[in-house]
Amino acid sequence: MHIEQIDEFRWRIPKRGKMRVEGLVFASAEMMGEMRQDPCLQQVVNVAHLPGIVGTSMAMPDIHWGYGFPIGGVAAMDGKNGVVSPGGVGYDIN
Amino acid sequence: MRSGLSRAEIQPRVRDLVTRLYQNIPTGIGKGRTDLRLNRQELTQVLTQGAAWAVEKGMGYEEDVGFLEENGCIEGARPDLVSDRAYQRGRNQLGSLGSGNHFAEIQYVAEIYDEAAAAALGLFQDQVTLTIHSGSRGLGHQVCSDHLRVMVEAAARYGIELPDRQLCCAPLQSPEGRDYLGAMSAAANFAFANRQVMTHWARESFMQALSLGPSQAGLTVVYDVCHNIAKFETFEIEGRRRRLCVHRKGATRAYPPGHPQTPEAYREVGQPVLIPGDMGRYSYVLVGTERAYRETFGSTCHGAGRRLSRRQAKKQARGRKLLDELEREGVVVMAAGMATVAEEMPEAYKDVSAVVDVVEGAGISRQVAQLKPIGVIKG
Repeated sequence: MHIEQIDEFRWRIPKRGKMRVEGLVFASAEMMGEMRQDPCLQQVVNVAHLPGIVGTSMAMPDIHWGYGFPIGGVAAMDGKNGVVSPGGVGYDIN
Repeated sequence: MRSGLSRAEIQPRVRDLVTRLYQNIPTGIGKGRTDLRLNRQELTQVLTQGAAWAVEKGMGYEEDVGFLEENGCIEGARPDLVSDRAYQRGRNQLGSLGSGNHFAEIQYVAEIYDEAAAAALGLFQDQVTLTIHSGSRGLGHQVCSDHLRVMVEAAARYGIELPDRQLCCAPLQSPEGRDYLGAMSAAANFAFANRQVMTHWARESFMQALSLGPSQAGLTVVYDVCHNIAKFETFEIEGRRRRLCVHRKGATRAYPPGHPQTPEAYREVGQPVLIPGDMGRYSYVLVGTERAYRETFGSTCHGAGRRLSRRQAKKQARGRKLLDELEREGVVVMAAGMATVAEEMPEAYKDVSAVVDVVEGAGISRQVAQLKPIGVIKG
């Protein structure tokens, strides 16, 4: 996966294919080294495909694989044209 | 929650305190206390009112709810869209911790990074604090399962192309989307009420173990944040007001100083964010920032993140006396099952300090204080 470093703690996953927005990952260089082996970054890319997503598909530094969306993921959807996904919340609601 | 007590004052009574907490707050996958069983009508009220329901029943103070995200109640909850099965699971579980990574922990303020912000949050060096981490229990789990089934079909019906079936979703303005949000909000309100009930029992535990009156034991809610939720929030971005549905999954809201939804007492420092670590090391109190508001829709991290899978952790714990190890480190642990302690042992988690260093370094949160565990109850 192509990932660009923005600054010390920010990483961009550029748009490709049908991604609607970029991915934005908050991590140190060391964490990014570990994350690259993990399917959770692909989940950040997957979330970027959702209709109505605004800004970026984000991942916090404690990200790990979850059902559909990564745990440690943030995605804001346009109130009119966006979608809501139970996988974006998970089983342990609230 | 913060107390008026210092670490030295409770040190000789830590085991009593943990025992009281363990007796008063049910842990593990099963049911809650037999003295709190709800009929359908009562549970409907819980799902509608959230934390305020518990306060109305005498479990907590009115001022508590002002320190809960969304004042402990998501508007627009639709209990009528919560299935019978979910009701069944919720009836006997209000006021229970659950298993997995859920816990209640007695801590002390080990480090203060920002004196002014700590003072605004009422925190001081060596002060005893208590954190409860729990959610909507079986009821929320059932709501998620019920609606995932609906959403798989809905996504296909609305022609939404998905790279992964697990991302199944529906337009916010569709019946399926609205129904999920209504049911999910009801489950979120159950979680608010659940923590409010346990807050009350934690206060009682302090009074009982330390033979103190309510004002002396004085556990005050610092803040209560959600970790797993999707809700409508309004943002002012580049001069434009936008209403967005923010999904935070294993992420925490982190509103900046001055935000109208931040309690007045904290308005100058920003919304408190509580980041649990593991039960051996430390947790953090952060505050939200303007940069988070602009860049992450007011969001930040939520915890340490696992380093070992549950299975790997259990394997590494084999033959070890984890409770003794933790006690030597100064942490008294009581748990419903030893398997959970193994799964949740400190080495199973990444070092949470590395996580909070990143969010502070990136400017989306600011560190206020570090809390170290003294006593823990777990599922």
